[in-house]
Amino acid sequence: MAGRGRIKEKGGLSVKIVSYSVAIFFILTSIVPLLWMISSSMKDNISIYKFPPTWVPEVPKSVSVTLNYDGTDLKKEDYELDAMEAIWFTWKRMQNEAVGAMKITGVKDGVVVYKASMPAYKFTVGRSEIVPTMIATHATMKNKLQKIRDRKLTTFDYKGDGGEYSGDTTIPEALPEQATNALKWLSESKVVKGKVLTIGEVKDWKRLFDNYIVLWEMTGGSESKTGSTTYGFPHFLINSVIVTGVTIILQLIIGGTAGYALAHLVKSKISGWLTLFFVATIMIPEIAILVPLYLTMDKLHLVNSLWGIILPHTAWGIVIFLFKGFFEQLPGELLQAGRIDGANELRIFYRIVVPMSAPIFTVVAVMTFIAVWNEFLWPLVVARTQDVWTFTVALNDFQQRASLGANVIMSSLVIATIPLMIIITSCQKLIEKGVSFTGLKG
Amino acid sequence: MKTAIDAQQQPRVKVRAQNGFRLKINWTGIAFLTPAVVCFLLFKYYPLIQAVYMSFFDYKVINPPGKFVWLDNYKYLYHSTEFWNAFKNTFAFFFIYFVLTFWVPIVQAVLLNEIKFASKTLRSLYLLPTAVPAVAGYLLWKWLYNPDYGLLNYLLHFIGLGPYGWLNDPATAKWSIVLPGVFATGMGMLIYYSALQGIPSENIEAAKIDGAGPWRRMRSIVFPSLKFIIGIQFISFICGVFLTFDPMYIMTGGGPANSTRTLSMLVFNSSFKEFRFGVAGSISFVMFIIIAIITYVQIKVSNRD
Repeated sequence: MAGRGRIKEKGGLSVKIVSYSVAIFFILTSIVPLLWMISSSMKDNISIYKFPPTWVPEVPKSVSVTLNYDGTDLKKEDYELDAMEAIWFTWKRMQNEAVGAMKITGVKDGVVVYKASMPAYKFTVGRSEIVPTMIATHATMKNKLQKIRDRKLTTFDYKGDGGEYSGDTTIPEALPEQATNALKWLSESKVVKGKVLTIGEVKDWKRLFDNYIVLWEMTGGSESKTGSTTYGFPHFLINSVIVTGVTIILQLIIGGTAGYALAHLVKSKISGWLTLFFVATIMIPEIAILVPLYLTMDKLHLVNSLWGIILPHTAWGIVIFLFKGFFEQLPGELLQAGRIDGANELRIFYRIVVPMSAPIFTVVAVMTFIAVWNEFLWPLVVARTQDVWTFTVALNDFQQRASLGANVIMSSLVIATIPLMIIITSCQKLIEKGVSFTGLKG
Repeated sequence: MKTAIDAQQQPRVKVRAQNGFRLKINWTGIAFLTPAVVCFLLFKYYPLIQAVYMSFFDYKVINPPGKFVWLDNYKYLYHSTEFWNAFKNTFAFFFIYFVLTFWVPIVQAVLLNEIKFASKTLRSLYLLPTAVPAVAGYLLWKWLYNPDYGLLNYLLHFIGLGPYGWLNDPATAKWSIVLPGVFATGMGMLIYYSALQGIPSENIEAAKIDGAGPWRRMRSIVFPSLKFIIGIQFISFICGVFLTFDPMYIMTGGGPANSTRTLSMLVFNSSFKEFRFGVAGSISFVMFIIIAIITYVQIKVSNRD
């Protein structure tokens, strides 16, 4: 650098300064929203709706309580009921505070009888059904017990004789806020039978990823009021992967063969007309044929199926155009040599042409991936039932569900970003090549 | 896909007549082309004709095609305030996208071209926001715009402004929908950047020798060499904006007070919400004609150059 820069230019420095600052400005301002997305995705249900917001999500705290049952005579069901009351009713009192998880240990005569625990996202899921009001009686919890079991909201692990209890037996004097509140309610309550032996609060960083777990746990029942089965976010992601994957395969086969035929197999006059036939469709906007395409799919009985989403993607003029342009540059001698050796055209195509054309196949695959993965309008129209939604349609639906907070939505966005992020960072070279094919060569 | 112009740029290479093999019936050629031809007929040309056909009917899905109404759907559009409002909105969006986003990748690419150190890293960083799927990006921005808990109002709060209901106010809704586009220009930047790599270095060297400083070179050599690609990008930009649907649908759903309802949204609503397929067909056809005219003008202009 020093050698080449011998002649000092006027304006050289200012160009450098402006160039770097513009680049850094745009990059930083576009990365800030991404960081905000990640930060929001790790916040709990309370702090996500706090103003002013914070950048670093707070590590959730889990409250653990040990209840002493000395001098009581309870059966397994009674213990379970008591544990559920201790967890749900206490949490209901603290629902506006950021509690990450609650753990209850039941002890009788120095022996562990049961352990029960519940993370925050399960409380969020079940809150509206299990504890809709502040009323805390045995009768209400008895009614809800079966529901808690069915939905696996709270884990209850009955030990009977689970070995000697070796934890603290005194309540610490200086308690953190959440634990103080929990203790206050538990000791005043006449519902919970166990007496508080000790109580504590620890930071639990694993609870930072609760919002991601929620996305997985949505399967089956979280929106059960509507009566239809619901699917977790992975289901929609898999749909998207299938749609994108099959589209790429079909495009490579259909576009590749057609492009090759146009370049080498048919007379130039026919080839010219056919190329026009294919490439002119770039002019037909998706929205202009949206309705008739939907009706066509309806006639083919492909509405509400993944094939309905995939098949229209087999007709992209740009793909045929790219393939034809690439195959035209292949040396004709090589193909002639193959013909003279007596290979038929099909054999020539897949033994000679395809191995030589890896660049165009990968470029088309990557460009298709980006376009189809992002697609929203067509899946929205043709996938009317949940089981065939792609993740883009699902995301749009999530934002309208009252039960999902912004934190869960942000975590779904983070997950949806990962596959595309992998493709874009690992295929940067191919994308640059593809961009210069489509944007420039023309 | 995006460019309607690519059609006219197909290389007019004459395929050499190859002896002998052409005389037989070209079964492989037919086999290779049939799937593509069928797909294009079925998923492009048939729907297009169907769209035009539908637009002359009071189309009924149950008992197609319903009553033949000749030009009534078009007359309806002509007298419909909804249609003209959407038309106006579409052009307003076109203007806003132009002001906010169109020039961004050009500036980014021209300036990045001056950077030698870490240019590959900068390019990857430019591409990074592109990794957020478009729908996810709009949802993210909707959250940033949130009047109560959003980051933008929080930042404004530092300088004593806000809170604003960015997407709830007809005055700002359009601009707020377009703004995310400023930060997702990675692909466009790459297109211009790769075009700049094609400038012969002799031209630059010659200008250097003639005493042109870097700013002057940028103005007289680098930027003019982009003219052609800017023209192409401009056409695909017009078509792209004209057909934009996702951000309006996701961020505002056409509101507030119909201020973000575009023609694309109108097609979607009149067909899949109101089930007036005939009207939707006529709007589609009007849009197709406009796109075709734009493309035609572009072909004429670029042929003249």
